[in-house]
Amino acid sequence: MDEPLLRIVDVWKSYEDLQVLKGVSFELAERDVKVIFGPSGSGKSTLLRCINMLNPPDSGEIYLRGDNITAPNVDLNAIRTRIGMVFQHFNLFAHLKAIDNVSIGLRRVKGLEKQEARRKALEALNRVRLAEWADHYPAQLSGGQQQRVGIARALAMEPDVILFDEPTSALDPELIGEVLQAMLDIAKAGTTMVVVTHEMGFARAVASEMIFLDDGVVIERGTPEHFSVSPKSKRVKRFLNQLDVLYGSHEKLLKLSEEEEGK
Amino acid sequence: MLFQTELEFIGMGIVNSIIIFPISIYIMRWYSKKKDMPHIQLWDTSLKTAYKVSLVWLMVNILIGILFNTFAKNITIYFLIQYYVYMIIDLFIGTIVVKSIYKKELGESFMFVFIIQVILFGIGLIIGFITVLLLGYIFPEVSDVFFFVLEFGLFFTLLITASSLLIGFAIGISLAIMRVYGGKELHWLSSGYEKLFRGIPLLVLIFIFAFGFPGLFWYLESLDRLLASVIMALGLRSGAYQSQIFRGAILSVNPGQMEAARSVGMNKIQAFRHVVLPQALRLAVPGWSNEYAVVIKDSSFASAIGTFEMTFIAYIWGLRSVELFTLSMGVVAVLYFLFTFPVTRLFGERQTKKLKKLGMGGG
Amino acid sequence: MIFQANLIEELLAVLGYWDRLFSGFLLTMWMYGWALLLGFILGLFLAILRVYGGTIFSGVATGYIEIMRGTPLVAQLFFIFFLPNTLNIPSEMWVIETSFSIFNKEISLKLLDYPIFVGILTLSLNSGAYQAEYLRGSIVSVGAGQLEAAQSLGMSRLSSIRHVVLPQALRRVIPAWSNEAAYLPKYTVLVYFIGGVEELFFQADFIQHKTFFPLTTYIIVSIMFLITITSISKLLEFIHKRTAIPGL
Repeated sequence: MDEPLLRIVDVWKSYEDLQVLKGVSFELAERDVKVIFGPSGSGKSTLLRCINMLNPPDSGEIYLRGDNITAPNVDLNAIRTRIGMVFQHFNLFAHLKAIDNVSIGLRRVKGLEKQEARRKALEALNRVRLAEWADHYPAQLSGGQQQRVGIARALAMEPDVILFDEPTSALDPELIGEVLQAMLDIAKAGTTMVVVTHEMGFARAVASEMIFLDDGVVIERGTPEHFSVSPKSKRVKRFLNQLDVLYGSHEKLLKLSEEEEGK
Repeated sequence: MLFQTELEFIGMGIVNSIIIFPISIYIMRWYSKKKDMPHIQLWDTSLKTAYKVSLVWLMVNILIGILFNTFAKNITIYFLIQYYVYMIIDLFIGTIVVKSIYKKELGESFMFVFIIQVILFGIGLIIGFITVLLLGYIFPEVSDVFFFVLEFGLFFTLLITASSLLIGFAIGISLAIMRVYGGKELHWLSSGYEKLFRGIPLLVLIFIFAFGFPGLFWYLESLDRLLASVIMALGLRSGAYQSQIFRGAILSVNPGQMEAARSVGMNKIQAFRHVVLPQALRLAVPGWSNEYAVVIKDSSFASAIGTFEMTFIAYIWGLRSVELFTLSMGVVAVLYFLFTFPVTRLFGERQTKKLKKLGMGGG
Repeated sequence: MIFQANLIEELLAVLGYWDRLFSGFLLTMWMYGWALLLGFILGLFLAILRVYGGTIFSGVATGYIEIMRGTPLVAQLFFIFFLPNTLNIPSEMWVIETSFSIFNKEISLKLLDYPIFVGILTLSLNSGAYQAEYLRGSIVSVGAGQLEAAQSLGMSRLSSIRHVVLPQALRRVIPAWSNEAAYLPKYTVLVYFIGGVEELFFQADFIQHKTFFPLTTYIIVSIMFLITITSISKLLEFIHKRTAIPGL
């Protein structure tokens, strides 16, 4: 295909006086998994929120399958059904059971029948291995389970691309594994994803390209191997070292699935 | 003479203070935001204190206005001079009060506060002039009811409010302490009191005290007896509400504070008196400012038994002709609004923000 | 000294007017019900405007709320009562009356005329402002994340508010709101000021003038109010427990 799934061209964004994004561009092909990482305050989350148009960019264009979604007359609600989002703090609807959290979009936006929506929602929950928890309220689930419901909620809409905004950073260490596993599963099933995360193990396992963002600009991009073997800039090296100290241990959580695939 | 009666003078003084207050606040806030330059930083804090200056100014102005109203009854040529003399005394008292209360935050000289007062005074004079002219010559009825209510009603409304709040404070704080620290019986007693006085309509309470116990205020004259029963009813009811406010405030002081105070070796009472209570009182300010608004508004219920206060005076004025009834009620509503809104705004929302900054409240 | 020896006599004399107390109570509850309902609708409307309305609408809602909360109920009542007179609008209303008999006593009840209408209107307008504040608090406490999550699914703003924010806000508001809901009945005595509405306080006034036992009369009325208010708050507590979200 000539036209990439998602094309971001020179996006700028500022909050009041603070310039957060200073001309970010990248492209994303079908079935790609793009990992964006960088120090806090570098604009990663803002970038995702711009792509979803929750905070529209000040300038620059974003194309989804060739449609310019930053154009003034675009129906944002229709666009958002095609872009899934998984939040750092889950943002599950507290008054709805897990299954209803997943099916509300199907019913209210896509207008599916109740039974049909439920069937699809269960399917999505199944993909994150939560089908048996379908009738629990968010507050009755652990953080990891809640985040997996959040992933299922995004999956159920069958979007073109799913954006993950630091999906594991609000979780206790022992709960991170199950969420990463769920993400890994759907990535391998061919879902196009943009993931903001510091989980280098996850990135190495599935990322087709990684982008290092700092101070609103792309400093360096490359394959996971590139970053693990020979990152060019000093800034990236130092950051990766710090990450190793903090997050290094989590890689083990994913070893298992890689071995499974090897068989 | 521009002014026909002393009433208009006194009205002008009070109008000055009331109107100047929000206007000066917004002018200063706008000014300090607009002039966002480094050398203004010093001024910025000073301007913030100027809000407080104008608040104190308002209080002093009203008080002196009322005193003046009571003692200087005859109209003379020297009235104008007297008025300015009282304004200047007012300026000095206001400045000193502001200096002594907000010593730390001022950091500026006596002159600075004084200059702000003088500027406010000037603005107030002009606004007061315009108001009196505007009201008196363009809307004579509005001016008439406005000053009529101020002259005959304001004092009683403030008297009822202040005394009821005071009675309520004494009752409320003791009930709150009983309920938080007391045993089962005291807890039961205080929550029973709260339920009782919050559940009975105010009008019923006033009627009970006014007509239910004819011998209750035997030593007073009949009109004062009604006033006393109104104050009693409002005070007892306010006690129930204030008890809730203080209980909430005491409970929202972090339990760690008590433990820390005990660990220094204070006993329970000392710890409460020196550590918990000062924090609780500060936390209670937003709720208390709401309670003030409730009491001053509900003092209008006193008009049911013919006690003099603002609403009743407006009612009497309105009896002249039914067409003007809406007008008199509108004007009196505006007057109440001027007494409630700035206070709840300033002490309620601003104080809440300030407390958040200090990390107090909410544990 | 307060209670004389003939306490029982007084009590019986006052309770002899039980039909008046009963019809007064019915009218009080009737006005309360309407005021609460209309106030709730108005309050919800104002709260949504204030939170999601943009500068102008939220400013208008805020102004209304502040004015209603900053001025006394009595002044509002008189203002509204005399407004048609000032504006030369005829204020005749259709009168709705009903009557029934109970224990051989004929009770006739006027359900709607001009003073009752003014009373209900004033209470609703005033209560609406207070309820709006409670509702606003609970809407804000639901948090912006919920709205964003709904919008990220492609739900429109209106539908997000309707299906995600409001169901949660309405559950959360009950404890604070029950303060307003339970204590509103006692403000219905307000209509005493315009006269002619035969609610509980009016009847109490009537009875005490007939019997000359003011204290007993008012104490009985107080007890009636206390029981009403307590049962309403108990009921709301029950509803709150029933509608609570499990695990939260």
